[in-house]
Amino acid sequence: MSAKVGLIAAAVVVGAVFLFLIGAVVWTAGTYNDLVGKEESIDNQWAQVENQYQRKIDLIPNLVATVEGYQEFESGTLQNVTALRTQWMEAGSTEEQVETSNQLDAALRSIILTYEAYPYLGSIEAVSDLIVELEGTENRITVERMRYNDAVKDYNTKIRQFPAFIVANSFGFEKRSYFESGAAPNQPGI
Amino acid sequence: MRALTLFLISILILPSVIGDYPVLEYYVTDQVGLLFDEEIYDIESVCSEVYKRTGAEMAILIVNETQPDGIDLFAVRTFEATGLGQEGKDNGLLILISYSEGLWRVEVGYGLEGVLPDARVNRLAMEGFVPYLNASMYYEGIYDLTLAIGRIIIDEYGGEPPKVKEPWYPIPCLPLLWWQLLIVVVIFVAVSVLTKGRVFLFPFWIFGGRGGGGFGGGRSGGGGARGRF
Repeated sequence: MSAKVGLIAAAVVVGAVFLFLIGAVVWTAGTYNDLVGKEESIDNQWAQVENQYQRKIDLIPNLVATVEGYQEFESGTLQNVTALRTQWMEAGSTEEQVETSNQLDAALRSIILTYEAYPYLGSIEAVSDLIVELEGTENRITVERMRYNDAVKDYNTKIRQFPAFIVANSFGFEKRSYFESGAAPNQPGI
Repeated sequence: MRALTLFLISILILPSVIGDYPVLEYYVTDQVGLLFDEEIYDIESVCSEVYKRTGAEMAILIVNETQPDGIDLFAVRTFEATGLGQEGKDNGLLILISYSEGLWRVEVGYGLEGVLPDARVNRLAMEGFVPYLNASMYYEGIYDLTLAIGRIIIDEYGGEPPKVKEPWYPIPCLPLLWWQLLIVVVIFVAVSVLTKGRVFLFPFWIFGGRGGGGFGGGRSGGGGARGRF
């Protein structure tokens, strides 16, 4: 009688351990895939940020050509913008690109200030269209950058939380950096 | 039985975690009270027509203020919270008016940026929207802009309304239809009874996914135009 009870107890224990192991494997795989997915969405979101930067860069020749004809815009600023655009395209690293882009933003801001200072410029459709596009591009960059930071936050939180950090540590998932306005995050493979 | 109660309570609590941004239920949401019901109905009939012909989802939101985010961020977040536009097509559009700040913004979903570039939206707004707002003729301004944008979408966007209705989930945050929910509950109760509740000693999987509302799952990327009035 007692042998039978012992056997049943042993079977229950073995079964429980077995179930636990299966559960652990399934959970590890699930967490791993989840982390991979989150990392992928960070990279994807970074690509969106880059797209919007590219969009701004593409807008510049058109902008310069259009506003050149109006003497209110200083020719020094316009030349500076064109030079910075070239610099951006030749930039090797993400850090360089972001730094150039910040300088570019300052120059573009002065163009927008000039535009706002002379209300009659607003009535010239070609000029006002370009300024609106420029402002729109700025906003798009802000939005994509915010989404990038959201994705990073989501991922960073996950890899530090219990129990997911066990998986993150053993598979070498590393913390990703935020995109503060000013400094670029470390982006591998770009 | 206690576990079941806990489970039900957790379902009830979940929706309140979603966020501070208004989730729009129908085409026009007037939090300030600038429009009469008949006027809202008129504007909504334009939006409804656009949806029936192209599947694009337009929405109008009037708020008192957008602080601390500012109108740009507020528009993007609200757009996202509501999920304007069909998922994957991102063919939503939000006309946002911040009454006390005197600001407006038209937020265009990714999918509509092609037919509605920023400059075009700005021009439409300058012609038939801002002048009315300046004269406090809110209904005229909103109606004209909605109609002008709606026409462009119908003429140029060329989408199709979704043939199958987007699934509507009875419980927010739990992507299950009524019959699926019923099956889950039956299994849940059966297992609970059979194991006398011991099944809950094992950690169970927590449901994920987003809840369905009246609108789809579209997103915007900050496209559109903005200004003062």
